[in-house]
Amino acid sequence: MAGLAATFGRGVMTNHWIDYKNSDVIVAVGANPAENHPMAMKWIDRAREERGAKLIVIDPKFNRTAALADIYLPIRPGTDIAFWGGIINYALANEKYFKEYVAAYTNASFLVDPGFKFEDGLFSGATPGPDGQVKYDTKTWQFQKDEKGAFKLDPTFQDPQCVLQLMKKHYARYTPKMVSDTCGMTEADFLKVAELYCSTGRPDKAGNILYAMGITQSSHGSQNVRSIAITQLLLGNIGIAGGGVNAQRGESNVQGSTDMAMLFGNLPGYLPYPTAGAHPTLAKYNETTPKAGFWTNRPKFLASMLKAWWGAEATKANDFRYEWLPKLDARDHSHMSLFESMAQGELKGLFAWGQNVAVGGPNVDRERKALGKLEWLVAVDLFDTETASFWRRPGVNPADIKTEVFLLPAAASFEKEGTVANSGRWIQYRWKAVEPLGDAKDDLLIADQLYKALRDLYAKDGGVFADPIVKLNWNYGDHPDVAKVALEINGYTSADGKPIPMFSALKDDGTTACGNWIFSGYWADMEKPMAKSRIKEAPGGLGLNPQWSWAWPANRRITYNRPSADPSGKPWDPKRALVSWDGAKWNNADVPDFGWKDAATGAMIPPATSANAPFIMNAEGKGLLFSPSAMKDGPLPEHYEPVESPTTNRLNKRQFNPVATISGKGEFGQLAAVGDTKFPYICTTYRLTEHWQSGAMTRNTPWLGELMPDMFVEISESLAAKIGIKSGDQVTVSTLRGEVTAPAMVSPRMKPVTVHGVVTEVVGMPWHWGYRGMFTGDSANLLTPHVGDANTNIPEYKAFLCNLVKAGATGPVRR
Amino acid sequence: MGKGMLIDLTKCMGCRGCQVACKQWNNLQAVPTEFNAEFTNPPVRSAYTWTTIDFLITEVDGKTVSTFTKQQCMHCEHPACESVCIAAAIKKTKAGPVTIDYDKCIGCRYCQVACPFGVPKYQFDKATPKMQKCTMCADRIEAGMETACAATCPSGAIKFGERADLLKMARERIAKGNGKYIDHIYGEEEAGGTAVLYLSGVPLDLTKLKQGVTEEEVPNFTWKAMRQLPALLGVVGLSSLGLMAYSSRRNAVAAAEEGARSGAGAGKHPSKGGKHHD
Amino acid sequence: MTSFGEYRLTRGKGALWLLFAAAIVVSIWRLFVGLGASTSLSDTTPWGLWKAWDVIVTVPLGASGFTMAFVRYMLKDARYEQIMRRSVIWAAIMYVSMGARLAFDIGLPWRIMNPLVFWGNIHSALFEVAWCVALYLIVLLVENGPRVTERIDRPWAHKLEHAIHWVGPAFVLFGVLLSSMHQSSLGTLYMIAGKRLDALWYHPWLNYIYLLTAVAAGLSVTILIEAVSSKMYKTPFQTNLLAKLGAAVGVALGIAFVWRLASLVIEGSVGALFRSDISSYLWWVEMLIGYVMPLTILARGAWRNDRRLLTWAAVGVLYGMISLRMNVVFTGMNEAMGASGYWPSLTEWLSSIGWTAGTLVVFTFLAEKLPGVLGDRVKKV
Repeated sequence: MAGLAATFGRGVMTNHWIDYKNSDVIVAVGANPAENHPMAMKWIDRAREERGAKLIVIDPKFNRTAALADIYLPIRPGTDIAFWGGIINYALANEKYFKEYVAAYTNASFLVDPGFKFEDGLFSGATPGPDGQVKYDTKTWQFQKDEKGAFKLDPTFQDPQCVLQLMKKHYARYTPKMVSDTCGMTEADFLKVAELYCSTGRPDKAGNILYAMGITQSSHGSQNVRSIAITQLLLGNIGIAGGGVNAQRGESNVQGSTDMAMLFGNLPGYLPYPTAGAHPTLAKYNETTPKAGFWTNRPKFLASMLKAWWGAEATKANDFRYEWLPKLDARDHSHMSLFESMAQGELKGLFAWGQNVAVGGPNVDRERKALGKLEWLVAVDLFDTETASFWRRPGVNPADIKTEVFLLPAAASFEKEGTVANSGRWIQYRWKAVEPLGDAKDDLLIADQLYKALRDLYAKDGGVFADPIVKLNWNYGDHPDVAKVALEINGYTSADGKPIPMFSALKDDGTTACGNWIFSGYWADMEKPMAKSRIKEAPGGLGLNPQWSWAWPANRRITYNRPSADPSGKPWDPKRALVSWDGAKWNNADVPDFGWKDAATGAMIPPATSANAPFIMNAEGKGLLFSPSAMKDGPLPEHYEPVESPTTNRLNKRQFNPVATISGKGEFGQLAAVGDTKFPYICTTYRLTEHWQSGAMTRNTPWLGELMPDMFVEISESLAAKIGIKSGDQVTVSTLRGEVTAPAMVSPRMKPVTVHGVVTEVVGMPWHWGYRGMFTGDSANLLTPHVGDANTNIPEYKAFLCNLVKAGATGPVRR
Repeated sequence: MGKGMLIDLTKCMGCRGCQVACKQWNNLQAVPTEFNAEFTNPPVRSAYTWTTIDFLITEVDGKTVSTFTKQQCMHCEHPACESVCIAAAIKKTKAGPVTIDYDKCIGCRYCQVACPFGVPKYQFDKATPKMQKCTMCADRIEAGMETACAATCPSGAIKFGERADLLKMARERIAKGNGKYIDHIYGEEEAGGTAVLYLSGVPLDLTKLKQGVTEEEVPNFTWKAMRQLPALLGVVGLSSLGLMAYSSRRNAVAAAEEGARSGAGAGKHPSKGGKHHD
Repeated sequence: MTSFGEYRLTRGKGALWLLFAAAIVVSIWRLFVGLGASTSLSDTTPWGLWKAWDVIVTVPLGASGFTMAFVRYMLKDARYEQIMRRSVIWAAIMYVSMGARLAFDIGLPWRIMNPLVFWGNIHSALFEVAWCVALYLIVLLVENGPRVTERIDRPWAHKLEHAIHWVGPAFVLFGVLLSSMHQSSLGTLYMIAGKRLDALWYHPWLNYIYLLTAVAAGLSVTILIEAVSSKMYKTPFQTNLLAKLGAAVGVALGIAFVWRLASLVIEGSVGALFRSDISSYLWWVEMLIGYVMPLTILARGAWRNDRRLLTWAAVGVLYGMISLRMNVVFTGMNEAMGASGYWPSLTEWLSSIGWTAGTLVVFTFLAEKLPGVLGDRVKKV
């Protein structure tokens, strides 16, 4: 998501599921929609049937999506930047990119600081740290500005410092030969895909790239996404129906929980979380407000959020109680850091709320051990999970674990009501179907009771920093009313508590309150909120369905839709018209993602204005081929090997992402060296249709368990022949972190890759199993390393090194 | 004509939602399974698993091929099972489904022998067993709904409707498919026509569809013999009567001749039983 | 006054009675545990030993009844009276036993009469078999009735016997018709498989093959009954009469043999004979023992008039009849059903052997209790 925000301004799926039907070429890379997003296949199939669209699947294994694909391209895990770099190079070198689009809507003509360099695998501005990893000062990555502060451009694209020229130079190294040697594919196959996909770099074709965890779970995951985003900008596939970079979320409400500040560095609505050092006051925080683009409105969003949180207590005079907002220290508090801190005894307690870290976390045996350092653990879940029962996992004496563990039974999705936000940003209400079983309670009620108990304790006994809790504006009723919570998230006017229609109504003077500005509008009508709307209607045949639920922002179905039309406002492809200027006014099929109408006067704003800044969330107003500030690991994606790799990096002199999070701390730090002969195989993990995430729900559902009862390890026929086994025989897979024993699946789905001339076997395994529930088996995450992406710290689950030996027995291994 | 289903194998992605939906709607228990490297699980259909996606993973000319074949009762237009059922418990209904009346079934299991697709499955594990198979959700059809598997199929691979319409749709898909499909609608002719129809993008030997199924109406296989029974009765009956008459006469002649030769001694026959009838 | 014979329980008969008792015990046990727990039956072998042996083979083993009744009453050859009596009572035992065994094989035994009484399906060969068998049991009752009534010296018994004798020929004819139907319909059963049946045993008119082989087998059973009876009970082995039956066996078997071979040629399945797999070996053995050997013997008057050779021929014919039916049920359907390695369970073996033993000892019991069955042996001894 960081890679998307750094390119387009928002970290979201640009289009939406139904829009897949408008695509001409669809690439599923690091995504397996047939298995993990089955409904996507309905729309992909629609595109294939009605438009003759082609489906390309790029994945290390021949998965169930590949089974239906027009082209299947195998790829070595963790080499996506090399592949997309090759595509970018192919498009640039062969002039396959959409020139008018690139010229008008991207920063291709921007001139970069003359000090910008890329040498020996490092961009300019690197400062090495003690562990050999670097930190970048982005000063030399910035764009040149003239004396008036305007960006300097070269409309002729000849200046060697202009973005297009820098890109050409940067990606010239990504030749088809280099790409195929690095990625383990044949040059011919690579060129076939390059040619087919780049055929969408024209006005009447739409190319669509779908990705999921195969792209993000990497030490350079954000740059993987950036590569895809850049490709799409070059081909003019952003903002148009059937195009986009479509991040397919791993869970039904990941989008919603991220929107609501699941990530530690965010406040709701992607407001950056203040740190104690840099933002002690509201004024200091607001000083960091971007100077251009839509984010200039940020102070209104924060003020309204604080107003929602502390109600009458929050006034303009007291900075809306900004001081009550807990601040971050400067440290990383993402998953891996949290567990490293936990292992060192720095954490007292943990809520694992609908989260099964004892199956899902990387290097999971150490994470399970770290749980034992807690004083208390509260697990809120539908079933007794591996996390809730970590103290009685195999091989552990429960008496040795002092952690007090509570398991709060939670209601399942169909036993409660509320909204979820899907990948396409639709916020859809879900009604309760049945009452929860037994003592199970819905999450809202659990949170409500927990809060009230804490508040009463603080009120009675006092405590450090009690005010933010005691005086919190928390009044959703005795049994909390979902509609009241929704109203707060939507935002209301302070005076009368009436919902506001849209975030444009938000103020920074205390007259409005809003829990999450991007959701403003989904609950603007208390009687008939859009989140409950279910009108199936697709004007223009593009499947926009504007009255089916509500999509943030502003019920916009396809984001950045200004570039769907040329600078004069004429759609590039009339059959995909989202917005169109008829000479006097805008005709809109979708909600425009740009200033099209003066809010005060209602006067139409002619196309020239928006043509200049079609990406309103970016300060530059353009799609960022070259992203000067947002990425910690470089303004342009560069290939680095996964942290554990069988080969040296041939594209530059740094082996792996120099900014990636490498966990060197104590017991989490076991990493195999490059080409370690003790771990000769590449290992990758994945999910299956039949199970969901850590399997907490699906491994407790007999009908699903019977479909996929046991953990297995997927290998090629050549590896099986080498170690003398057949399907069903048990194998033991080991890394420096641990080992897994499971029956082997030997089939032509998995094939070795040839990496720089060396045939290298790939081992795949699903990660759904654990030691609790009806269907048990080893967790694949016993093997995965504690290293993560430079920007998001997402662990590198998808590419590491392992060994694999025959275990001697046959059949399932149950724990 | 009745309802049917068109299963377009080019659209099936092997998610097996249909398998679960079937068990859910029909309240069929999960069965104990273990890892199957071919993925098909439960590995065989049974009284408790009426439909499965049968996986096939292989290589053709060095390219990996993986197909998913949904299997269930074909709901023949002229079902062999119906024709052989001693108790008239199996019926091809007007609506399309072939159903089994549990109150009539005696458990002779002839339908299992007869079915050219091997569909009916018996509860061998029960003391009071039932013959089981996909009912094409006859109860749902009666309520104006589509089958559970078709309703749940995310990719639209299973289409429910009038068989005639589905046949037309299948022909159109082949015509417009530009070579995407092989030119064969499985079930159009198989077993004399089935309510469940299939389209495939690969030769059928790369699917798990049963090969070499007759295109004749299977009930005719036995009916051709049964319909001759009256003739058989006629031949046997008449020739028996004829022989009887001939034998009577022969015996009478023989008796007369013997009587002529040896006078009154002829009446003494050693057999007691014979004297009433000869 | 009644005058039934004495039954002599020997050690051999005792053993058979024990087996029979065991079979009844396991059959009842099977009712409580279900077919899965008691048999090796499965969805790929829905019809096992019980259907194959206890029904499909047992019925033609009882074909001695209608064939001999035909000879005695249709051909009106009184010389066969004693032979017929033994054959007909044997048939009755086989049919009753078969009915009982079938009840234990079907899933819900208490419903066995339902299709006949309440509903039915005239398209079903099995339905047709069931009806014919049920009716034929009545015929057998009538045909065997005199063996009982003649032992009861009461006016009603005499009247009944007289009535039976009066309607006898009609019942015999009825029995012949019923048998023609159900003996052939047992062949029809597997015609539903069409060419799913292995080419070696596939025949477009399997029903007539079954009828012909049932006739041959029925007469062969008669020959064997005579052979055994002459040993056990010193009844006369009337070689000249039995050799005539042997000639009839030869005709029926010969037609079946030629027709089967012709069909193989017409269907283009001759290649299957040389597949060199177990099923093709089984076919060869079936043909050599079941057809070639008996036909060779029966073709020559001198040989078929040789008591020993005639007996061997009858054994061969029975082997051929049993082999055909077993191969159709198992070997020939193995591939089509996707069956792998069906082997009857202990319960199935015990039941089939026990019930078969039961038919043997019940025959001895009835033969000894009803002197009319054995006839004038004592005089001859």
